[in-house]
Amino acid sequence: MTSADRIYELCIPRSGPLTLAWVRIIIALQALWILLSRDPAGISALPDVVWQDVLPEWKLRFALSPGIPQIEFALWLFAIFSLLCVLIGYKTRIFGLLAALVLYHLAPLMALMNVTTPWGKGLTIALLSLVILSCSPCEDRLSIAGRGESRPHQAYGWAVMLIRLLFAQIYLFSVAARLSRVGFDWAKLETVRNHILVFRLAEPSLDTAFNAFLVAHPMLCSVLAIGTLCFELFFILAVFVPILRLPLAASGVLFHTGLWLTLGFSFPNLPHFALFIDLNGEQRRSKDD
Amino acid sequence: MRLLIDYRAPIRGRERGLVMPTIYLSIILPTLAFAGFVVLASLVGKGDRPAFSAPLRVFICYVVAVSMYAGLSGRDLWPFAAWRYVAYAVGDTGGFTKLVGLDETGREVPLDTRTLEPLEFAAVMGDLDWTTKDIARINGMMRFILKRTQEGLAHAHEGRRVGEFSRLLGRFAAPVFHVAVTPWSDRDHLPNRIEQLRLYAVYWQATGEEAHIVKQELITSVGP
Repeated sequence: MTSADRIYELCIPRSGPLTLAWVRIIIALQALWILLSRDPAGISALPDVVWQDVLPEWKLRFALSPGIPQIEFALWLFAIFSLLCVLIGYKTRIFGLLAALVLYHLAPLMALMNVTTPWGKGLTIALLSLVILSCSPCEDRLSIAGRGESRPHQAYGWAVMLIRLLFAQIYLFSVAARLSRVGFDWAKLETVRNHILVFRLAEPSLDTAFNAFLVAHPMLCSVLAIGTLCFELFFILAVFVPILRLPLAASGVLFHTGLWLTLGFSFPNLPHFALFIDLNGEQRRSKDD
Repeated sequence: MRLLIDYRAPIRGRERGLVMPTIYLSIILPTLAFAGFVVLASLVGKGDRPAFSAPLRVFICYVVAVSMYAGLSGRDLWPFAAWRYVAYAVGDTGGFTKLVGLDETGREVPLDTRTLEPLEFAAVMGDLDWTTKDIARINGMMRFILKRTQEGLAHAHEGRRVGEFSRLLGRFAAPVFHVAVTPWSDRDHLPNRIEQLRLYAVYWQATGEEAHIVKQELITSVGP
């Protein structure tokens, strides 16, 4: 191993061809799930009253235009086709990039009425990951084009690391913003309790026995608030510390299940926790390394 | 010359409190960030290793640097996102908007959030921001919602699917961000007609383990 190799070995967790192929499949499946559950062509066909407040710079930046549902439908179909190619590992270099470019247009269309960019609509991580996958050897395994090629593990690790990092940033940036705007005061029992109380008031379907139990137990609310901050602060470790990967990913699934049950928030990136499964046992160094 | 965007324009597309005043910040910089990402990716060879490939090293550094900058600064460089889930605290008092329908007897009935698909109901509610928009604009949007609601209710009466998102995957379709309210799934308890919509501002107060509504103001209504 050269000295340069050693430096990158320290910075980039190792991964193998099977794990990278798994990441490719998860990214493609999640993006397909979102695309097949939405209707960008239908949004294009909506009347002017929906479009009147869309900022001109948004239209320019994402090439958005009302009244062209046929074109949007064709792009939607093309995105699905490209993602299917990525899913089966066929010419990922081309179709990964093309899928990402089409999603760059379609995702903002699906977030037309939002006050922010489409980061929470479920296609942000997929878009970035497709570009990364397009220049990685993600077809070496679990693909119709794969010839079982074997490369040094460093050829795979960087792509897996980048994709996991982009996902982990969801929590890092959310908690950073919360601490910067509210501070550690956020981790008070009132944070969780008032949140649940107002959501129960606004949405009767959230007025459940589970929520009633939570608000009646202040200590539990405190634990949930502190636990949320801790989980979000430390989730980034799942990218770099193999032994923490699965426990943190499992905690993430539990965390979002809790959010769904208490506040009714779904998380379109939930399948991305599967990105943290290592299929090659990369955490074990072999003797020849 | 710097082109300034009208500050009076609606704030859609901008993070609240992080208004971006120039074309440079709102179009050119984010577009360049994404274009740079794609171009650098295309320079990386399949099977390259960081120790031996300068383009790959540049690409890795670029992704880490741009994503960290966007996230920590709050700058809009989407798809490099400034993730901001629940970056606020809920105090002891507050308010929210509520949209209800009126049936032919004048009784208030909840709406089925699926009727606005392909738009998400929560996003549309965000658009009915009466604190920053004039009522005429809000009424225009409400008339559109009323029409969609009436069409959705007609579908429910005919036993057809309400909404678009489940058209391909059925119950396995990706859920919308905030819980969908689907009272019209129950065909036995459908309102006959929705003739009017009312938009309320609801003010609440939390005291200990309870929250209650202290005031409810009618903002506007549309319909015959």
